[in-house]
Amino acid sequence: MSDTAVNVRNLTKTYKVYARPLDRLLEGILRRPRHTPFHALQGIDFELPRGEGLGIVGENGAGKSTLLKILAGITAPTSGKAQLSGSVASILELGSAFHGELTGRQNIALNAAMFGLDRDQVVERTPGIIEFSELGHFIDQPVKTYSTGMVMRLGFAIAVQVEPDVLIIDEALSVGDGYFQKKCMVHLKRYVKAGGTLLICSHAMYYISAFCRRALWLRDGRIEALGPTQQVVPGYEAFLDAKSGHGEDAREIVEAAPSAPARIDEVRLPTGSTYRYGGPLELEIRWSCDDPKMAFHLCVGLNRPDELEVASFLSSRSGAGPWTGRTHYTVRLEIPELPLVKNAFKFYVFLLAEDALHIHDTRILEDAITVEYDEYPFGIVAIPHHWHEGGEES
Amino acid sequence: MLHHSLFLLGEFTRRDFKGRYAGSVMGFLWSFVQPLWSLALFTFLFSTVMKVSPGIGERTSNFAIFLFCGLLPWMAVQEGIIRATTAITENAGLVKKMSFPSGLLVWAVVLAALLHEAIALGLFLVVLGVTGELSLSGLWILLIAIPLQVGLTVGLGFLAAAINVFFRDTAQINSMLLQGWFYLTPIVYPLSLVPDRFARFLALNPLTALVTLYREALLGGEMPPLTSLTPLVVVTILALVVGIWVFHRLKPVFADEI
Repeated sequence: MSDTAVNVRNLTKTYKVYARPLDRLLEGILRRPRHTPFHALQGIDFELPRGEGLGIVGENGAGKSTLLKILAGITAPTSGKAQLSGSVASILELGSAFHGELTGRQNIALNAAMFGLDRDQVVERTPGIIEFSELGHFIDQPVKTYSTGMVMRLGFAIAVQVEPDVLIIDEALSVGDGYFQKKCMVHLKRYVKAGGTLLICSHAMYYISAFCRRALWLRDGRIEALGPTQQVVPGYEAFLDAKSGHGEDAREIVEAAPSAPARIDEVRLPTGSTYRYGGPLELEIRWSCDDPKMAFHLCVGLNRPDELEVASFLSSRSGAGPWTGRTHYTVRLEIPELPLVKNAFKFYVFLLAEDALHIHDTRILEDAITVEYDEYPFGIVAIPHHWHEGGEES
Repeated sequence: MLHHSLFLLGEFTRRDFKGRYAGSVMGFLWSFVQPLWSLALFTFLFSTVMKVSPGIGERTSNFAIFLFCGLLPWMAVQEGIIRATTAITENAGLVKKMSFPSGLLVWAVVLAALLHEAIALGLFLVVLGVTGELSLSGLWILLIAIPLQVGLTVGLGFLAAAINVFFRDTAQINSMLLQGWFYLTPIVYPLSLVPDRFARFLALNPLTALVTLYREALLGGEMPPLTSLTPLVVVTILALVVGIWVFHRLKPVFADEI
């Protein structure tokens, strides 16, 4: 086997976009073009040595998925070539091959076979797959009764048991609960360490940084940057920030159920989305309710994107609140000196009842803040401390 | 490689076969009920109401038995082609997200249809045994009939599956064409009832030869003259060559088009 796992030369992919299905038929018959070409990828060139991870970043529609599909052998390039050596497995969507009426166990065989395992290997690895998926007795229930998380657990369990030479993952990890994500990450790290080649595309820069020494930034179908992850990822993030503007709350993703008796209307960061160690941070939470007699507490969680819980702020513990007597509220959480030194973080905001247990509403701010640094710091927080020389022994 | 493809094909066929009946109350029994229902309807309509009888030169005078010999291969061919037509488009999730030989999806539905036929055939042999018309002397003819039937179905299935990706009207057109094909094949009537000037054209229909092979095989007949098989053999080879060629030419862009 050669030392180059992936070799891509002058790859292009052009889609033909037809206004109507009839145009496609007429073009086939009349041999006159009736389509608008869409250039999804243009002149892509790169090499990836065996045992390395390459992270692919870029906005929606930049061509990331098209590139991975070509590498996975799902679609053919319009011109150029993509050579992969060794066995290849791709996870572009977990559980897409499952048949809902069949049980988890029955689905394992077909799915593993599609990843290239033969009959003996399937028999041999099925127990490991079931164990990894942690589905327990659900493994003999039809897949249609599974929750999304269970489907993904089974899908990923199968994919990792295949142990390919090259593994291609498209955004598949960015969903699912925190515990499962962590488990997948541990597995992938071990895979790369053991000499596996990984191509991963994700909007979560954390994953890219965790697995990949090098990163590829695609923009409008062309390579914008290719190099060490520490250089490419900050460049891409700066580009995104410049595009969205600072301090915007555009990244809120969870919408409140409009019928709830109390709902969070807005969560914003008046102090912006990029920070440095020791700077002030403010989080403004606005909510409304129908009944002014209701009383509220707030809880804010600060997590790393892989759901490591970094800090929590509970109003009932800090002697604030409960807030009551109105229908509209605005409350600010103020952190005078941010003890964080690097990384991106997300906020969980919970609107709680007076008992500080029942949750009325939840907001999650994905990629809410990024902490910048000049010199690379180890760890993610700085703890005030002193050094002293000398002592009892002298 | 071939070994793995066969394993994968087995799994696809199993998925198709099991998945179809999973969750329904009667489950697997449906594969018996459906052919019996067609048999009952056609027998009532053509034998009881319209008084069609197998007539001279046929090996049975029982219309239902005569009909079922023709219905068996027809149902497998029809089910195979209809389901193959949408085999790629219905599995868009698979074709767009996984890398595997997508032709296996066509093979799988054709094999599943063959499996249904085998079940109905087993049932039919039992019925023949009970009515005392069972004869095993011609059964070997099925060894010639079934490969030709599968080849024809797979060839046309590949063609229809590939075209349907680009032109979804194929599925609609197909069911119309198949309806015509059914009545232009001597299944519900014997060839002897067809006026001479049309019988010549009906003999060019590849399914005429296939149905004849089944009747000879199941009713203790003998191998028909090889020249009468020419349309069947020629069309089967043509369908396989054209179908597989078109399918493999269009396959690389399936994921982009569905």
